[in-house]
Amino acid sequence: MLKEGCPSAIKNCSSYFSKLIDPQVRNTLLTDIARFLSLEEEVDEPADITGRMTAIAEGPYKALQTHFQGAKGTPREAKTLHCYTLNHLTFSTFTRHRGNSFVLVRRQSLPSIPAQIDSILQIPTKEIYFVVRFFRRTMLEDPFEQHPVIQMSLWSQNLGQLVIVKPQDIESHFACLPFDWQGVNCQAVISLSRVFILLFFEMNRCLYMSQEY
Amino acid sequence: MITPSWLTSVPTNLGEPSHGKPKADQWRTLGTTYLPISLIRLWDQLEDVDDMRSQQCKRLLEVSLFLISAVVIASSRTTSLEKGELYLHYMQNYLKGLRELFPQYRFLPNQHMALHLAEYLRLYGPVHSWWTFPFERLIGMLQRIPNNFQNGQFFFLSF
Repeated sequence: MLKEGCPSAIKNCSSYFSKLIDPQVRNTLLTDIARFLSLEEEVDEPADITGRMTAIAEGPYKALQTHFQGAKGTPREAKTLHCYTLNHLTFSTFTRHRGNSFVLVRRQSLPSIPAQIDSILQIPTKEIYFVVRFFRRTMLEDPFEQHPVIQMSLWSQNLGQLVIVKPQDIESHFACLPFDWQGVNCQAVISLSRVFILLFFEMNRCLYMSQEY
Repeated sequence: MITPSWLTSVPTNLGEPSHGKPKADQWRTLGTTYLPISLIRLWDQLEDVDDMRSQQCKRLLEVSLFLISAVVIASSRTTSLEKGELYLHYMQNYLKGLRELFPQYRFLPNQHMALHLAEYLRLYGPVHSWWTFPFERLIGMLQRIPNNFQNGQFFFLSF
């Protein structure tokens, strides 16, 4: 529509076309479209760029020190962001939007681990870091483990220490249901990743589990 | 359930006529996000091993999870030969389970077509590149444009 010579009838329909890809609309299919658009566009940007540099709080600073392995270059000041947009998806701190703060963090050759975003820091070099708390495993038997394809798991409601995670290590959001399981406060986590990654050992497990039927 | 803001909302009064007909995306969100957790919580643990209802619920759960697993694999943004085979494996198990649970049930053409999806995944790649949802969405938008039901006079009245 932006090209020269585009018929005016098509140009007059631009509002209809823009509605098709409006990222504000709550629709999972649109995030699918947006994901493909982001393959060609540079869309990662902090949603709040007006913040000022402030001293980093003690907890996140310690996490940064651990991340930078105690190097002297660990920044002492950063911009604190409330949200960050990655591949057209908004990631927020848990105080801003709890659902947008729940993220699955990638681990090489292992299932991803759920975490809650505590804060989002932009250090002077413009790099973005998520300060997260990982969910802790529960000692109970996980009833969701038998269905690996659906990517569900059972976790404790207690959270771990503050840890630094880079945006590129985020796999997706997840949905979460706190509930009581065998008398213990737990939470069920289900991945919202639209990419089903089939690990070799999982393939065998999937076939084995479903053959028991 | 705590969900991110982009996830499609599902009707809170599902099952009542007032919410209307759920859309495909609402069915997918309901089936792949809400139902697995709820059904496993409700039916996974047998309260009484000898109770027929508990056993029936457990088998219904297994069959439902075969279908959900097949949907998750089929709607993934990436695919492969292995994923195609795994999809077929789950879909066949789902249909076998359905026949066992409901012997009187008559299968529909869509259920037969679902068995061919593994072949399409292999031939054409991930479903997002060839499914028709974007066109259906466009048709829906076009249907909602106000008009005077007079064919051929739309442009005179609108512009």
